[in-house]
Amino acid sequence: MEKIQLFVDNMFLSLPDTPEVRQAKAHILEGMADRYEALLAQGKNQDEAFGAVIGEFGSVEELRQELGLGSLPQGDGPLPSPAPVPFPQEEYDRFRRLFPLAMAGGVVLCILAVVASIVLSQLSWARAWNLHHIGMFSLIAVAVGIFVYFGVREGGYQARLRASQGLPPEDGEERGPFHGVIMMVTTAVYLYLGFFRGLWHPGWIVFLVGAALARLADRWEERR
Amino acid sequence: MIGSDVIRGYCDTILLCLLAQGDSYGYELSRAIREKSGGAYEMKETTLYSAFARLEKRGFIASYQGQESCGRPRTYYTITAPGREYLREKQEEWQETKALIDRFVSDLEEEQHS
Repeated sequence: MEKIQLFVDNMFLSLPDTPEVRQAKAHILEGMADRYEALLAQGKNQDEAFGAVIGEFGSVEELRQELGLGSLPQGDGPLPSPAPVPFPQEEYDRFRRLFPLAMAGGVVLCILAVVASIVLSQLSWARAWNLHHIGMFSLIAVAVGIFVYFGVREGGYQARLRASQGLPPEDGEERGPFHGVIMMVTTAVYLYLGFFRGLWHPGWIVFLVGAALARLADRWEERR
Repeated sequence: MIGSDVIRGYCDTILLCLLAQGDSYGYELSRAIREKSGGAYEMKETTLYSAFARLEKRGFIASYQGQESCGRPRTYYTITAPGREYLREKQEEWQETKALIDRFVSDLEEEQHS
């Protein structure tokens, strides 16, 4: 319900704060709240109901003309939120069933990686070929791949959900997937340096490098 | 779906017709319109409230605070005597408009069927 309030506040931004405008806003909110609740009672979920309600809002221009406030010349004043984009609910529902499995799977792989490392390090032939390291990092690589893939997709859906509701992107959502990947790789490199080379001390510098690279990635992402 | 451009001249008439049958409030009127039109027309919130403001300004409807529901006081609207008069005028106007347009459209239909 606060989302509706937020949406209406946003739409009314370009209007002056007069008692008339305030009354119109209150009445409109009243109607939208009633409609929202009616849709929920019909069995729609919160996101569907919200999407329907804001789609039925109409145009601020109409109010503006009716209240005698004159039209804004095109391009002036704060822009209303972009037209709501339909959200692929079914697709997201299918994805949402896989997501917890993927997360669990990734964690399991990480644990198995450690197990594999321990087991393989007991076998001299495996040790000779460094299989205990190769095996561990291979499994970790698969796990990270799963985390990144599903994490980015989930982030994408969340961003689209917010866009479809006419809300501005959340802080940090505008960053591309590269930011996350860079930080994860940085962490992996740091752990490697620490565990295998004992270089915890100068090793922490990788985080400075990683952060700088991540910022560059953000700038580049913005340019696109 | 009927475009809002076409309906623009008759939004007020639609609302007055409904209010002539009894007092009501925002959502209820919007729902009645959706139902009665069989989904062919949905009045947007801004259109609805612009119409209320307009009709109230011209004295065709009056508003009052109705009974609370879910802890929210409701704004009810009622049609006034001038409102009923205006509605009668619009009824006539519609019949005339319908007849006029039909004269042209039926000519066209005759042509298309012959």
